[in-house]
Amino acid sequence: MSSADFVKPIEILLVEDNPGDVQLTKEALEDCKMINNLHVAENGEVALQFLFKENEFANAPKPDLILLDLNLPKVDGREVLEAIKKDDTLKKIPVVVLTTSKADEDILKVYSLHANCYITKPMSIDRFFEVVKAIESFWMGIVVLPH
Amino acid sequence: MSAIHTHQVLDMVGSIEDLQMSLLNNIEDVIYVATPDKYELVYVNEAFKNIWGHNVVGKKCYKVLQNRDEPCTYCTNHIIFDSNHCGVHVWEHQNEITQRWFKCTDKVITLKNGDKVRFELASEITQLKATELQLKKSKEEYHMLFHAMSDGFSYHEVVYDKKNEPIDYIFRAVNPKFEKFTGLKKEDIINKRASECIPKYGDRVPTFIEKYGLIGRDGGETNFEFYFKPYKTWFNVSVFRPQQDFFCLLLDDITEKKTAEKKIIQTLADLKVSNQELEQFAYVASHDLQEPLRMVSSFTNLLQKKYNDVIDDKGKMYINYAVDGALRMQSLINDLLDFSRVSTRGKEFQECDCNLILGKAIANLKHSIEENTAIITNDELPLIKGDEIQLMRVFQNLISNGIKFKGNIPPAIHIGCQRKDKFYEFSISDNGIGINPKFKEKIFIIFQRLNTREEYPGTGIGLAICKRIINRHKGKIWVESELEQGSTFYFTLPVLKKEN
Repeated sequence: MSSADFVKPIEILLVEDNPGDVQLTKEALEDCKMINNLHVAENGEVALQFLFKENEFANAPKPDLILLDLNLPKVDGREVLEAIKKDDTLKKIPVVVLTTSKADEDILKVYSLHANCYITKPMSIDRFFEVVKAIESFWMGIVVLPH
Repeated sequence: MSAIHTHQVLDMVGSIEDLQMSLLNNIEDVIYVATPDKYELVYVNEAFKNIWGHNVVGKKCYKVLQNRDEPCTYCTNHIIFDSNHCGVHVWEHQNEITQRWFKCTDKVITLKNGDKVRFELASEITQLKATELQLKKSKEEYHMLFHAMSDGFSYHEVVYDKKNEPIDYIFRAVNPKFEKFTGLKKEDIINKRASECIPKYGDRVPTFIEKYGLIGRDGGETNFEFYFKPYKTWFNVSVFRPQQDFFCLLLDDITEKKTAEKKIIQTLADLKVSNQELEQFAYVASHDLQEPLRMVSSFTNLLQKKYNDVIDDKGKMYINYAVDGALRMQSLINDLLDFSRVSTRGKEFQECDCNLILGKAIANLKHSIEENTAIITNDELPLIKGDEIQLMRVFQNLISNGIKFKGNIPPAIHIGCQRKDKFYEFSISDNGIGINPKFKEKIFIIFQRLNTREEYPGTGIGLAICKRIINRHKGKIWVESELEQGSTFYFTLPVLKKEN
């Protein structure tokens, strides 16, 4: 690994329709050590266009990490996940499902669609910040991913 | 062999009169002769004497034969002595003394002196009569059954072609219900072929004619349900063979049963929809209602965090209330969800040991029991049929309430059980603060609390869930308590069927 790799910011795609959660995630990531570029897709359709570099996203970077909410307008999170995991290039990107739902059927569905992990958004702000930091440090710092 | 001459025969039996006498006395039939005016017996044979006694000559025939004091009302003298009447009169009669039936042949005979007397020869037919009566009775029964039975019944003879293949059938008998069910009139169809009576079948042999015909020919039986459109009626049709080349058809109107079945299926479908809606509600509660709440709590929190310097103590207190409210709302939603899942997520009932269930509940409360130095004792508990996880929750909720609402002394809780007829009555008694009896109904209502949150935390869902679980198990739950006297919670569960 060259020193340039450290300088290159981490590209994170946040698929989230709730502006409040977008704001919270942004604030949590600001506190993180690693430099990151946060891209936000407010629904599943935009997320897929971003990932497949369609329309105005022709020059979009390939994300290093995807944070995915489940219940989204238009194309929902489960469909986005399915599309990612079917694509040979995209399926290597770790997908963290970050959602309010605690429903068993959601958890089961998401893992059977090969999500990398499922996290329920914590109620307390401190816990939320901790979780976002933990995601970042685990997936971007600890885990060895293919280039 | 030479011919026997008359005089030789007379030598053998003495005289013709002796022979006649001997014959009269040796036949099994009863014979008597009586005068028509005085009704006096003039002659009776041995068979008569054997039934009505000896020394009867000279006595009144009605007295001897029927033990009457006057001539019989049914006496046939007026018939046989009628000048227009000639020959014999034959009738049947049941004797009033012996109850035996006789076939009587009455006629008038003229004695040597010219007197006309009544002659009767009576052959016993008691046995025959009994058989006849039996037959009549069973015929009546059959007739009644045939006419009054709620099933439509028809009796048919099979018609074959030259190759002995059934091609048609003839109506031989139908009952009124059959006419009513099919709309066919008896007089239009009896002794006619089905193909004539039911014109729409025309030349072709419908499969059912073949089917019935084969039963008539080869035996066996069939049973099926059939919807008759013109009458909007469902029939259960049974076909069987009473004898070779015949078959019977029984039609049972099962429309009501079918309608009920349909209704049940519809109700089940409705229930499924309503359960799905409930599940939908549960999902909405767990997800959509939580999200805005999380926003409220997160941003008030963030406000406190990032603007701590500019917010004064009063402002911080406001924020605390807002955060606390949001957290409580979240608990309420989770509890409501829990409450709704008693019915939607309940497991199928299985036989389970309440001792093991109680053991698990106590194990779950280990920390709280130790912390409060609580003493838990129990009776031997029975086997019951139920949802183990839910019943464990009931024990756990009730025991933890006993600990939570403790008095000044360490909690002592006893779990008892008594059989009461078809139910087991479980009891969980504590030595805690007790409940004012006027609230004993209210405590089972969802989110009802008797104490402030500061004194005793909790949303007030526990007993409501217990009640819902026990109701699901077809039992009852109630409490007996006095303030500061401890409480005893009771609930019932049905005993196992095999122990009933």
